[in-house]
Amino acid sequence: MIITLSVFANGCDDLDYKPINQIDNETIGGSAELLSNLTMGTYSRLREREYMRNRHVSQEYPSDDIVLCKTTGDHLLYSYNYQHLVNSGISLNFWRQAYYGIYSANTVIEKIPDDASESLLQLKGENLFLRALMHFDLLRMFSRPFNQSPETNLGVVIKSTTEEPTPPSRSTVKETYDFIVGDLLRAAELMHVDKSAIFASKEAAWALLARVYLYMENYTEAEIYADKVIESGKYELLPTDQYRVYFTFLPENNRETIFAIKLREVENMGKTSIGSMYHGVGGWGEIFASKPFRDLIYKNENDARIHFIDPEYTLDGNGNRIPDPNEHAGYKVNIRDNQPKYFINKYTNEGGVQMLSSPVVIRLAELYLIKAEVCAKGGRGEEALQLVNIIRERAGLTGSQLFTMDHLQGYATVLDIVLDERRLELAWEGHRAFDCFRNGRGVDRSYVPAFAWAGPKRIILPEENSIVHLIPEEEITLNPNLIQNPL
Amino acid sequence: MKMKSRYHYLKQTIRVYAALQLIILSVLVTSAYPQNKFTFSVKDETLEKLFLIIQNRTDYQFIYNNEDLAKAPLVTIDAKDLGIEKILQMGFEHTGLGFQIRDNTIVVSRLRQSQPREITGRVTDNRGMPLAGATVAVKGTAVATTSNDEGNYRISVPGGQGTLVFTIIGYGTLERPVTASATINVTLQESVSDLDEVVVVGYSSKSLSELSSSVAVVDSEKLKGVTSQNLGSMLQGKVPGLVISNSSGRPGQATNVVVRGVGSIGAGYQPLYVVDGIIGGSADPLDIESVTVLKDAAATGLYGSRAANGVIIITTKSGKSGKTKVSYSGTLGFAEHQDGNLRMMDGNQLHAHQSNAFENFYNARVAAEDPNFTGISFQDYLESVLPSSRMHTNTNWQDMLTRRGALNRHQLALSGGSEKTRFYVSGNLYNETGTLINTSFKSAGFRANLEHDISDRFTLLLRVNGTNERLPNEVLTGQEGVNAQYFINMPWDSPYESDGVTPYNPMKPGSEWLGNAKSNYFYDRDHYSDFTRNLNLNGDVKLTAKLTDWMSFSTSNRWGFSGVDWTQLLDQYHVLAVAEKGRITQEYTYENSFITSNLLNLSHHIGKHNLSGILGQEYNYIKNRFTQSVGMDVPLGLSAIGAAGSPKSVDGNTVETGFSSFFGQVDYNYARKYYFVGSLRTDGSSRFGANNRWGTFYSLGASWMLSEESFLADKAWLDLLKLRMSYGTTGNANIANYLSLGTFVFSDVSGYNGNSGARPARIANPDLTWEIAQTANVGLELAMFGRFKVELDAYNKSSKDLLQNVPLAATTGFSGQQRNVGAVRNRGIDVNLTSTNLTGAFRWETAFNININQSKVMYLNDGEDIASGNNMRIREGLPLRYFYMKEWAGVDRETGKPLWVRWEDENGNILHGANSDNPAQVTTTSVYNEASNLFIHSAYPDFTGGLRNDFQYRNFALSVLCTYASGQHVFFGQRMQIDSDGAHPSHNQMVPDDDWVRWEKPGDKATHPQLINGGNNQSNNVSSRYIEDASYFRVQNIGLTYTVPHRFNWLSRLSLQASMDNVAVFTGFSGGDPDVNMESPVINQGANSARYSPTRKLLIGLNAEF
Repeated sequence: MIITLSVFANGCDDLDYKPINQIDNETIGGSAELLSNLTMGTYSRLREREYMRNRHVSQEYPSDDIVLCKTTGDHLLYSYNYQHLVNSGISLNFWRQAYYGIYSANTVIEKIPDDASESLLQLKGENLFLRALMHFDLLRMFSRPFNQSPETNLGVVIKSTTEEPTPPSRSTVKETYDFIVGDLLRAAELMHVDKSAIFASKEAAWALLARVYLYMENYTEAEIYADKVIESGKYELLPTDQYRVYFTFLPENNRETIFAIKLREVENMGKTSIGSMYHGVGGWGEIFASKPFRDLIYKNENDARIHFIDPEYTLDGNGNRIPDPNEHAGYKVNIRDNQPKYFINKYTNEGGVQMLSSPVVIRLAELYLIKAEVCAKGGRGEEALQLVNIIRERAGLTGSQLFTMDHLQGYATVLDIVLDERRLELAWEGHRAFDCFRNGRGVDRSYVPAFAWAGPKRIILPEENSIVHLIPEEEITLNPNLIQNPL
Repeated sequence: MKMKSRYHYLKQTIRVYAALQLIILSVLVTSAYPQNKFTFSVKDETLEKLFLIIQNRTDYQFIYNNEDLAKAPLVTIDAKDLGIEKILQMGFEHTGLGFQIRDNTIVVSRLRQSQPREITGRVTDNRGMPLAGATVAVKGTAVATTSNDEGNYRISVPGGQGTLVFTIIGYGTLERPVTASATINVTLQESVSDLDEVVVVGYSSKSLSELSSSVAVVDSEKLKGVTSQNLGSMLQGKVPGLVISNSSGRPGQATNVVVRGVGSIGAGYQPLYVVDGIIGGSADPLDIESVTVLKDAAATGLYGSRAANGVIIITTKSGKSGKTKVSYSGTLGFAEHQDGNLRMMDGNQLHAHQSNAFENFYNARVAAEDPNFTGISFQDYLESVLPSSRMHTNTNWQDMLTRRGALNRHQLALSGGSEKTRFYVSGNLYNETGTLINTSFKSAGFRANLEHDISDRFTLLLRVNGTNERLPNEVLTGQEGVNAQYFINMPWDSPYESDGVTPYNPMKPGSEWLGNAKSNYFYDRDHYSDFTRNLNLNGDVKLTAKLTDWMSFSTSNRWGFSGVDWTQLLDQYHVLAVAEKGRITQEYTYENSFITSNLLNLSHHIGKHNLSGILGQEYNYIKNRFTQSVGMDVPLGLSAIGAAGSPKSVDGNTVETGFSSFFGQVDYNYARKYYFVGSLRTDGSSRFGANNRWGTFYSLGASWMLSEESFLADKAWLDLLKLRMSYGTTGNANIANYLSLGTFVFSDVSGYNGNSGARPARIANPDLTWEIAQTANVGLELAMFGRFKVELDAYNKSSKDLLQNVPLAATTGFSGQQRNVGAVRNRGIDVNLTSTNLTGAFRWETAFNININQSKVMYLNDGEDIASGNNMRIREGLPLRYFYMKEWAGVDRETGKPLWVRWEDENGNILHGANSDNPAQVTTTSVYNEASNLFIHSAYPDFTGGLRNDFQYRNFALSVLCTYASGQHVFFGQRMQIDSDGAHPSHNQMVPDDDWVRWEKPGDKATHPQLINGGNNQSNNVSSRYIEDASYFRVQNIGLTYTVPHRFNWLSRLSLQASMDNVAVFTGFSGGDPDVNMESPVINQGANSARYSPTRKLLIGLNAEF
């Protein structure tokens, strides 16, 4: 009987089914096309809601440019109010997506030798760029600024290979920055194909290098790479009339954007998008432009950047706005939970589609401001102001609205001017809080309504533990070598 | 043989024997015999020789038929002075021949032993109702018949003497001697112990007494009661060791069925369903003849490969030869929404609650000298944050979003057949509207079972079964879903504009909606339609060939098709599709499956040795395919995907699975006292790694029928005493396909900018193999006095090589990997008691069952815990589902702040339960992040079971079914929002339980922290505060049946029922129904997990048979 059975068994072993939507590890390295598919897979991680939106929440919500009108069960609340949670979904999901993306990048990087064809080396460069960007985003979320003991403060886990024989530990802040710089330098070397701003490019690597060096306070290199981008001629500041509607352009058609995460119309995330919290048309509309920010930007009513604010006006019976001189917008604005509804439109209406947005990672204006900051810190005030004025003129400001060394408009230092200009220009793009902290300045949240047991935190100082997110407790459970940030 | 020439002249006479026999026989009885005496002896001679001798010595002549004589045995006669008649009687003994002496002629003829008698009568039950299909047999002969639909029978008793034996399943056997009367009417008593009931187990049928394994049978009668299209709901409380949970009020919702504890972590826990002998398939509950639950290895052994979670065998009804029977069953009724102990606040209650929260907040800010507060009176402040104008609206969302549900079900069935062909055909309709608005379930189905005897040797069985279901889906889920709106929408929001008619759109510009979810069902419902239709079609062909009287072969083949059609249409005003100007999604899934099961059945008896066996082979192929297309820009009023202005996305895939199996089983018993069974099965599955695709499983069982032993056989009170034990292994392959392969997957999410992209899917594991459960079972069955039956089973089920997705640190690049690691043990006791407490006119039966199960994780990968969601953790030595979170330590009496437990080492550093069980110091903290994560409690119940009482008086029958579970724990996570101490001012709040105490002032001993707007120090974050004991006792069903006395010939049975489902639940649980899925005992606010409690149903029904 057993013999009969086994004969039968061998004859009938028709059990070898293969998936038709998957490719095995051996095959995938075999062709440039498949490696390109894998590279798309790495990019696709950026587009994951858990990466893109949580990245934004962690970078922007601690700033003083926004106000959240109500409480929420979403853990974004704790990024906003600095009451970080060890089990915050924001940090957990971001951490995971980032490392999945880094692994994806490593599979391509490992499969392409240094003597490969130009197109393959381009792919390798793009993956190096993405690996650097993801490490950098992790660093900004979980680690303290570079100017606070970078050799002892913990950065994040550096993943330069797909192998993981033992549970890894966090490197120091400095080691992580150095790793990122290394990747970006190598990426810039390898990339020679001219691609649009939704893909990594040599210039994108330079631009990110400029920012990373600025954060590292390596001002020489920051300026070199800022110059390289500005002088590459590949990008230009959009003229003022187009600038007002900057974020309605598709990123690949926008000559100022250096790198953006592309979402096609069919990938619109609607109510779960970044823009949903910022705008009530098609979204939740629960975060508004903060009063301090409005105080700053409404100083110049002709500032084109006011157009990135879209107030929800109160209308009279005839559908007309009701003038109100006490309101920044000059008209009555609807109120929700005591907050006027100054919606923000940097993350909606791309291509005229509600809630559609391909978030900009880096654009040319920032490079001018990086250079301006380098100049300001290097005692080159005049040069710094010239660069600031380029940005201001593009915003439609003229005459006395521009700065000269003799006309600081009440600012104490040129650096203050540069930092405020960064605030105006790059508002809600995830820079503000980190700009304050890395410059040793606090974030003044006294405008935030008193909130529950915690009360308002008036000024958050760069030394406070709460300026960084906590390492997800679930990941520490899986890897006990991870050390938690001070609670 | 030729006729002797000398008797040739009588040929004609012989031909007419048959016709004349009756007359001849009557003459024979009355004729006088000659008195001549003879002496002679013959030994082993033929009758013919005897006749010759007699003819030679007497004047008698014989007339006979050669054919008759040829069959007669040899005769031996030793006669001394005997008359011819006596001599012939001796000679004709055992020959089957008779004789008649007429003058000198002796006529020999084939003899009817005696005159048969026709007996008629009626078989009824103790209520006087006719019992159709009762077997009436003449004892010791093969003569038998069955009673017809009116309970009448007619039987011809050979020889006119003997004893009639009346039997029918479910009733005691009765014997009646044939007397002078030509009519014998009997009344059969229902029996508790159907000791010889034939049950379908594995690939064969056996009588209960023959079993060496733990099985439970629920026949169609016992299945009745609870009205549902879901078999699980109907089985609840009826089988010990079968834990059925998560019954829901949502029509069409499935339940969780667990046989004897969950032994698998990641490979599913649902038992294997076998319909009509073939793995898989489906059946309408009303078409089910019986359900057999196989619990131990001896029973499940033959299903080895996929039986680790137990097997549920469903047998559908079949036709019987005879008059065609038409039966109709109809049920109508309505359902009331139930929320157990949970009540939500109305506008006034919420206002008082929030005022209190704002007051405490205001006082705290004033105490902190916050200038925004010191300059304003509390009344003014309150008016600014909680305007009294809100009180103008007081919407009762609970009322608005629920309604009286309705249910109606109809079944029409035809059955009958000729001697060679039997059929059962039925059609079913089921329609239920849920108590929660927009929930409903419709189903229509048919079944045709056809059996045909091709010849004495070959039987063909055809079964076709089709169902079509339709149920609506919710487009918005989570906190926006209808079920969540029910709980969290604010009473101060009105679903309509001030005109009271126009639905309010909470997402419109300028919206003043207060509720957090910004969702208003009454607006949404006008802008979407979303339905799923499930189609199921199965066709079985079974051919049985009786090869010899001890060997038969059968081939069973099923082709199955199941399709899912999901269509969702959102118009351009729907909140999810505004940007897309309308969206339409169509998804079709179809699954094709084929299974062939080929068996050789052997059975032989040598003396008291009974041996039988099965040799079988099976192959199963499943192909699942789906396509999805989504279009945008849909013109209002149109619903074709082709009408969409532009495509949004396409998706689709095909997945194949194969199983190949070979198996054998041997059954042996000696004298029906000692039983042994053994089985062996080898299985291959495409789901496993190339290195380890095949697994071998076996089982052994033995039972000892003590009551058959001579030392007990004379104990009249003892009906049955049986001891049985079994041990065996079974497998589990219940995981997704392709998990052993290391691949990169292309999907709709892995592309970028329209370029197709691939993501690393998983790390290869070519060693992936079967999960194995080893089950040992010892059982005792005792039946006494024809009234009491006890079944006791103790089992130990160890599952090893558990298939599980081992979570990996994200830095590995993957969330986890499918591996075979770990072991879980479930051990426990099943007790089943049935008793007929009263017999006679008033009859009372009780059935009670209980299962005590203990789960324990024996081994995990290198002893490492497995995090299981945010709230649970799997750890060696603990039950499988164990809560792991911050441990609530109550409320600080001085400050009113929340407290959690904190473990510290000797240096004051925090310790967590996962890292240490030996803290240097245990303290409490009011800071959430500084609290330790600790092992809190098992989710599993200590024991579960059911209690059923049946009463019968004349034509009335009353049954009461209760179910209970004790010690189970549920994390009522929804309380994080609705019992939030002020943290969720835009969610409605629950009315506190009676024994909850809110902290008001220093010194208060409270269960709840101080209420403060915005929340109190994360008091509402995940912690054991929200774990509740969800023990319950439920009156599951009360049913009253009245059987109309038999009056009309055309109507053979008519009964009326009234029943109530979910009559009452006794529990301390605060959150709706406590019957939560114990494998995921978490109630969140998501639409799909916020409790839609089982409804209370009031039903009336009618059953008629023609």
